Amino acid sequence: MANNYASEFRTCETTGLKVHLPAERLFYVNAVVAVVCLLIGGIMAILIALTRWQAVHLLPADLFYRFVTAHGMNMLVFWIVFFEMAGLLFASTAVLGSRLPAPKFGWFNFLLMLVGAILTNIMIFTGEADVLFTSYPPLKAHPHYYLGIILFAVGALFACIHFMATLVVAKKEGYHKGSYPLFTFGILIAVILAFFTLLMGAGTYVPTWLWAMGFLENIEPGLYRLGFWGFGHAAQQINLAAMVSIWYLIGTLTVGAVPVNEKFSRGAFLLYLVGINVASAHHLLVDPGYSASYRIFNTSYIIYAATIGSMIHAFSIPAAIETAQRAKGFTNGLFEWLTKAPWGNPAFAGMALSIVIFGFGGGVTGVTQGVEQINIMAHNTLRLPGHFHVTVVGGSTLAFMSLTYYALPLVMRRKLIGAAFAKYQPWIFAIGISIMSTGMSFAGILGVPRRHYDISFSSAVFQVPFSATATTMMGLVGLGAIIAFVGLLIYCLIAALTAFFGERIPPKMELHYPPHAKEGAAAGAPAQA
Amino acid sequence: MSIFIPEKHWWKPLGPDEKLWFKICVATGLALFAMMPLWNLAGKQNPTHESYMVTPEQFNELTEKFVAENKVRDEVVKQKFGDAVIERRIPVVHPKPGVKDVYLRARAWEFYPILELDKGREYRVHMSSMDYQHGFSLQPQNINFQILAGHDLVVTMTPRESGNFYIICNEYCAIGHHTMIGKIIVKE
Amino acid sequence: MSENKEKFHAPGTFTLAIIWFLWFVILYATNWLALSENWFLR
Repeated sequence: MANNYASEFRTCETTGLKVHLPAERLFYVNAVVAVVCLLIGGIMAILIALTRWQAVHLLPADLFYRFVTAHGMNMLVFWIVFFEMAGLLFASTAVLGSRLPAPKFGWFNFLLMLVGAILTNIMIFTGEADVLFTSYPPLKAHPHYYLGIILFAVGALFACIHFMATLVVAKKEGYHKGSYPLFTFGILIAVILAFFTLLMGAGTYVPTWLWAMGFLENIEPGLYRLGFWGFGHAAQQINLAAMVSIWYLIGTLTVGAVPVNEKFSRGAFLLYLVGINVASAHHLLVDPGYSASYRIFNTSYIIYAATIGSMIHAFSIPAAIETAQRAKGFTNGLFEWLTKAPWGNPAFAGMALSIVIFGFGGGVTGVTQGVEQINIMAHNTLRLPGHFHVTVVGGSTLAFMSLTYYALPLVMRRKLIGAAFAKYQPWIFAIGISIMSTGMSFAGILGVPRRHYDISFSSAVFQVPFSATATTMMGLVGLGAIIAFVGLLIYCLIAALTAFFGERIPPKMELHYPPHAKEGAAAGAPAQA
Repeated sequence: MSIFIPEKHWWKPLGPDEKLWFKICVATGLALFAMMPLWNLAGKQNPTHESYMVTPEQFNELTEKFVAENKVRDEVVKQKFGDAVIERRIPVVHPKPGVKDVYLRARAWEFYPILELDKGREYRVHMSSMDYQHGFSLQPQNINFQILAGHDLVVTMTPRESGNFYIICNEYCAIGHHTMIGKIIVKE
Repeated sequence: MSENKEKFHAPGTFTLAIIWFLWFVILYATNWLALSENWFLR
């Protein structure tokens, strides 16, 4: 059966994976659009940060709020989801050695998402949608703003269905036998979470769209918040599952790490499935209308099931790397495996930094601020951006960046341009984001609100005396943002230059950093039959 | 290998370090979970507020009545509009002895009225919005609540320090959001 | 190192995990302490 499609495949020289060419082209466009969205979001980010740094205070108020809207949408939705769509294609076709069942359907989904993203961006930048990322009613945007998001979400939903279909085809046509590889399993969990998320998104945005067009009288603000965060927070859990899968993947690609115990890692992913999406209640902790038991049960991710899952991964991924390194002979002391790790490889460094930033920064702040009572001191202060910039940026985005350094030579078969810069890029980005989030968190602890144009209150009736420490922290935010922005620019440049002008890698050529996956390809090779 | 098919029988017992770590994980999860109900029972700071449905008109009436009955003076404040400076009078309200219910109206872009409270006395602070979503963020105490139109959020609050405190709106409420600020004065 | 440690296949990782755990406990406890000093709210 598979023979009909044999001409559409090529075999990757490094990993031995069979790559379906139509899927590869789709992967390519998704990744390119993702990087463009990242760049737009990044430019917005630096402008916002330089405005919140009171000493600079760059933008006027209306542009500030407009750019906050654009930053949120482009980063949190468009960049992340386009990249994840590329990830879905990789996990379902290349890893399983399968063909993409319906490439035309794939292109249709991609175009839906692209049109949606462009429409929403036009509405934001023409000033028709100064409603911030959350678009809380009664703030009302142009109907096309909601339409753009709906189109994007429908495209993403179709792509998730396509992913599921690929899994079915892979089994049915014999491309794949046995259990799914852990990476595909993790992405599968992410896709299941995505179905929930996108349905919540539809349930929230469709009525709001109708309301914006005048067909509905009123949107209940409390109900909207419940629905919106079912989409907005759950979307971040997709990132989490995808990011953890990518950590496992990079561990394998860079040092040949094997999950120490498949049962342990897969069980942890299942805990995500059980417990993580209810965490949207984290946004409703100080809202009117919810009982204590509702809040305790939901914000605890169902008795901290998802937290236990993350703690398991936090152990099992470094343990896999340690085991692989010890097998190579780095057995001296507790940490030789770590010091002798391939730190010069941007993918490895990026992954390691991503784990550290996510674990020590994002995870602990999230679990702490998500406590029913502690949230009183955190809700809508800068502590929240301080938290999600170390999860979604220092964690997910950095992990995605690291993967790009493998995707470019492996999938796009281009030699990395600026490999010397790539070596330092994860470090620059990680340091910048860490400084920025630290600044945000401490400013938030001192009471500085998020999404606020002017904390000196120069045109308000009272001037709140924020302490000098708080002002210094906002300076730190600006400084960190500048460093992170430099890291982001280097990444975008390397990705764009390599994708369009990179030297083609001829067959059998070694990459500039040693790939370690070769032995694995021979040992546990995907079904060749 | 995470990108290759695992061997057929991958359901294996955990190693000693994984077992120990898993025990730590589960114990942590249970301890974190226990904290919230325990604090609800024994702690003094809980967001287990009451809330009611109320229309903006009804809430406005309640606020005006509360202000008329308990107002002690006006505070004159100055606000900059570009180059112009205008003066505004905001009523300062000190609830009479026995009055426990206090009303705070949020509207784009003001908190109304200024509250004057006694230290150590328990109040039921009602908050609601007339229009957009607003945020109640009391500084420097850093107490934050969400204010929605149509909902009367009742927070039972006991001030523990005296002085001037400011309420910052920390939920985006259109272009004047950053000028929205209120005040609570706590007397000994 | 004790005999128990020798049986661990990832002692370095376990050490790192414990360091992380201590950091979390400190952060979590500090937040509760800060909260307990706030105004009484119900």
